[in-house]
Amino acid sequence: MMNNLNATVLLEQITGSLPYFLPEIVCSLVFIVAIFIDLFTRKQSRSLVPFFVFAGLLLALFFTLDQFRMVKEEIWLFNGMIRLSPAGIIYKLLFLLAAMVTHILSIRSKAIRLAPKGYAEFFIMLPVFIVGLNIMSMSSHLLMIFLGMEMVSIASYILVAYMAEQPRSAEAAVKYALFGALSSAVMLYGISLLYGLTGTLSLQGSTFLANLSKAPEYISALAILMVLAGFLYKISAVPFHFYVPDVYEGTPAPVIAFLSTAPKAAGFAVLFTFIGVFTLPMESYHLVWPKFNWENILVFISICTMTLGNLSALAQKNVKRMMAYSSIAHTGFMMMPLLVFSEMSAASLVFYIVVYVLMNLAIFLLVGHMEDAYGATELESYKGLAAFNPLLSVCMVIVLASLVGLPPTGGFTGKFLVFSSVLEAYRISHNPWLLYLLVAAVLNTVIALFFYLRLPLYMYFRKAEKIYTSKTPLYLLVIMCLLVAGILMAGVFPSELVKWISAHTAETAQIRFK
Amino acid sequence: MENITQQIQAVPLDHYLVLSSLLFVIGVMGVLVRRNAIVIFMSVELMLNAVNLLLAAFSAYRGDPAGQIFVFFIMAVAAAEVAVGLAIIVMIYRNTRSIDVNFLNRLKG
Repeated sequence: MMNNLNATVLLEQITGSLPYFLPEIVCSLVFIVAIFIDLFTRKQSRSLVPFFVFAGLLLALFFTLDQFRMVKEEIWLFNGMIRLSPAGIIYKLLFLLAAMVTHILSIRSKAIRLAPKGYAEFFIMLPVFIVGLNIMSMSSHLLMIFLGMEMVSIASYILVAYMAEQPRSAEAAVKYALFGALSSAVMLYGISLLYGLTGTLSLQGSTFLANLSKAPEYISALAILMVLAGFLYKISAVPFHFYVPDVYEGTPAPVIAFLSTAPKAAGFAVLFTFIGVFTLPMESYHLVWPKFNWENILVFISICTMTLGNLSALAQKNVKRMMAYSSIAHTGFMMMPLLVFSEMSAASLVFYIVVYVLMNLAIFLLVGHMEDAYGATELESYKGLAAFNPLLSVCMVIVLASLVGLPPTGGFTGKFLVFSSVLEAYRISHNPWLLYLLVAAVLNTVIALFFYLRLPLYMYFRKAEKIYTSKTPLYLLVIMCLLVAGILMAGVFPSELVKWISAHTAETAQIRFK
Repeated sequence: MENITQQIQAVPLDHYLVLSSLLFVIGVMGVLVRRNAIVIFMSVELMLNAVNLLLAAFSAYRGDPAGQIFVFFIMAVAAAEVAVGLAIIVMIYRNTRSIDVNFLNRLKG
């Protein structure tokens, strides 16, 4: 009898959660149907699947936008497996934006169109990504975090390996898959230790933290570091960054535009949830870790990540490799607000991620276009290209200025918000490590100036060796102008965006950070 | 079911911990030392099995089924991961006629 009642309650929970899970359900259905469409229409029409997938993404976008109306505060779905918060919806919008831009670019990309396997399967992977990424950004249960991350990882192995006929691409894929599997195994070992120590897999509530603080210190520190290793791999922070340049170099630009933005943003969402657990206001004790201060370890990792990313980028000749190191450096900057547990830092993290997604989509769109139209992959081959392509070159300068963090771009506002949230935290806590972090971040912004501005230097002030007569396709100009407009808007009129974001993150922050 | 839990609990928890850490370390060593891509994937599987053992043991000791359910998910996901990984290795083999990971050195880290 008791069991029966329980089952009914559970079922009601599940059916009650379904309306809030529509974007993910749509994406799963699109994935399954698209496979069959591809199977039965392969001979007649090649463009049906991409079209169908895009329609599915639009529908998911509609439902995601609808969630802004439905969700005003945190909602727990599926018996506490998933936490749908207003901040999570912003992440979900970003993933869809990245997926749609990637979709449009990939349809036109030479490398993907000419893939011998056909390109339908490529597009079928996009809805899978969206499901995995959405689960990552909404989960607060270790099982869901694991499932979301694996869904995203496996889909990314497939995209990276899609051009495996070229040896370089195949090698990048093996490297990616091997280290990805290794890092997820390490993360799982950490999760299983945490489960043993706490007896729960849910990060919700105070049971997790209360039980963990009773556990022996070194073993729980070890478990947490192992779990963090998995997350840091996903966001490509320093000890786990080595696969990034190879993967980026060997993969078509539209794919990288996606892989460098959406999974990283989702990784930060997960990291934010995970770190947030340890900042829950507790009555019986203040510091979670009296002896083992892993906050300082994260500060150290953040400093290393940005410094190594920027210094290595200085030495690169290949533009894609340079941008790979640049995205590593940005990981370092994005880790800064994670280390400060305040309401402001929650908003500044989301703001930085929004701007980062726009910037990276734009830069890889440009790099991909230069490669397709002019065969330009090395820095040398960018000589004088500005003359053939004035509008895109101006866009490139704006995007690069934003990547450096110069005003009046979104990159500047993002850095400004992040730095000031760290400064605010330093004033309160006087942790010297936060000061080191700030100094390192400012120095790194200066270093970044040198390698980013080498690109416009080559494009504007060097003579071209050949004359090119290729026209810029209209779709590219439109997307580019929209992205650049977004970046400039975030820089010139940031207050509206900041207000909007902090209205959505405030609630999450208030619950987690007192 | 009761019986199985009792039988699991007949062995002290420490033994499970030692065994699973041993398996995990063997797996890590395999990844670091071996150069054959398939053996590396096998080593990763060994690490995952260490995780499974640990989860199952903790789950039995705590009387909480969540850990065992996690094990099912790990098995399913690991199978998917290995399927993709092996497909990539097959493609590498077609290109280079070798599944040695020394070719990875050609790409700079």
